[in-house]
Amino acid sequence: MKSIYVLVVTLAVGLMCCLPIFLGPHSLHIVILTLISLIVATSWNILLLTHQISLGHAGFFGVGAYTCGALCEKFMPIVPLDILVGGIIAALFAVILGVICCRMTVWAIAIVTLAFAEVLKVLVIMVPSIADGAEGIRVPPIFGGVGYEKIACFYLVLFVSLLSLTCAYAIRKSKLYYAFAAVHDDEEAAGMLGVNPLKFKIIAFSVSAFMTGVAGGIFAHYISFIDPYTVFGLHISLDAQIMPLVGGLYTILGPVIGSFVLTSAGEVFRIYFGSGYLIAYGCILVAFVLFLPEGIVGWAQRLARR
Amino acid sequence: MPLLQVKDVYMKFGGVMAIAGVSFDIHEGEILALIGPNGSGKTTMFNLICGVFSPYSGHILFRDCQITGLKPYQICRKGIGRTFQIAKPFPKMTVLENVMVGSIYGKKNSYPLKKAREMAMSVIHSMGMEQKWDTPVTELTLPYKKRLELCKAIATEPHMLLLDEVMGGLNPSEVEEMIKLLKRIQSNGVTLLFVEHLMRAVMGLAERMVVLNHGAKIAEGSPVEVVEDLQVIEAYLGKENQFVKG
Repeated sequence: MKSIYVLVVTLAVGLMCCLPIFLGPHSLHIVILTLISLIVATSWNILLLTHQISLGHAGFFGVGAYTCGALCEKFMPIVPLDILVGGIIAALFAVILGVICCRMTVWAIAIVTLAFAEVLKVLVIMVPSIADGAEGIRVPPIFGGVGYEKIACFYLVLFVSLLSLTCAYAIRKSKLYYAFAAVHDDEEAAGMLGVNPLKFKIIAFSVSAFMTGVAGGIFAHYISFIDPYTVFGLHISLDAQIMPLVGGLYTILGPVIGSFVLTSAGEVFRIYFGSGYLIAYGCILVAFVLFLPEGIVGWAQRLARR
Repeated sequence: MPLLQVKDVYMKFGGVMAIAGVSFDIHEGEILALIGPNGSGKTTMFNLICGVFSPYSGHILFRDCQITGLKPYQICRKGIGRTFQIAKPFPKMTVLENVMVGSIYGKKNSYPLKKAREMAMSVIHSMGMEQKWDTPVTELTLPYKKRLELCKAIATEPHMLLLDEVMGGLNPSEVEEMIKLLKRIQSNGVTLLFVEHLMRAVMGLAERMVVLNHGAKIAEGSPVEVVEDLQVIEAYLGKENQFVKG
């Protein structure tokens, strides 16, 4: 059984590596964006392990992106150091946010994180001295903007998204998982078994934010121009939770499947329905929440068990 | 030297005095029952010892070391395990994984995963749950849920176990088995403090009893002494001739 998994994963990764041969620039662009949102969705799913729902992952994403932008503007562009710094600063924000949130109920956390992302967006827009306000800033491309830039970016994003999935898998197989799951199910009972709930909630928050911050940094370099509406936008926070929801909450594969299914569905709808595609997209989401709340992976697991 | 000393502890919820000046000691290796009518403060007392609440005044000492004001996870690592009145398993995990949470995090230095798994497995065996080790906890019946609570607490390798109504809802033969289990746990050197309504279990197990009523200690002593204590009878059954006079 295990060897089958290894085979499937190897095949999938191998197939992904070959994609630039088959795809045109536009399709490749969409795959890159999908992979970036996959990283964000995976990190959101890690936070969910401790029963904290974030509506503010756009905040971490934007912090990562703007850190990269600011570092490149003030100093030499030092890729990939600035991307890592972006992740670390996002994680620092998460520690502060985690300390505030760790005693709250899950719904209050959702509202606080939503406010966090919105406040950051408004701050950047209203105070031009921070980062040129609503005009946005230019970020130099990672590989110098030469002809193969897009393909190189694709491999970088693929590598980082595989790293994030490995990280999610490592958490699942480590001691952390037991603490996360215990805190998720019952904080009081977890405490009685020696688990410090606050500590693990904050760990989950910062790991999740770090990954999202890194994704934001890569996005900034790839698009090479960022403005507050894009990187702090609500759509990033929403995608981050809709993708695991459709794919399967609490699973590692869930965000992967969710991100690819939703992006391809979105593209297909755009072709057939034109500007009304968001309505069809919304209907699909509602259908998933109502009829398949355990997601595609959860549904497949249930079928397999029968 | 007593293992646990409760010294003149008070606890208030708003204007209600839930625990009013309770003191008692527990000695190494003994089985002490904490009894009292509904609402007398037994579970509150447990929560004070475990660090869920911190007392309004007074001290709790464990092995001569102040534990008042510590958080539950710190108290757990000092060697006090606890089961809940209403079993609180982690529903997303199997029996083994539930017990492993205790065996990984229950001690000062957390075990590596492999050792924690072996240790959890041996606890599950010793509690007679080896057939259920891979069952999702939502599929367990009540007696097994109660045993799982015990397994989780024991996996933290406690010196003392606080048991909150582990017999509640069990039928007579299951109660007998549970009594045997608890005696075996005690013979391994674990001190037991338990809250129980089922008098048969209390009389069969307890070496000493502390009786609470309205948050105050009204009696302490061997089971035989306590059941003959007038104040205790009054607390449970009301004053004699109350109805005649009333």
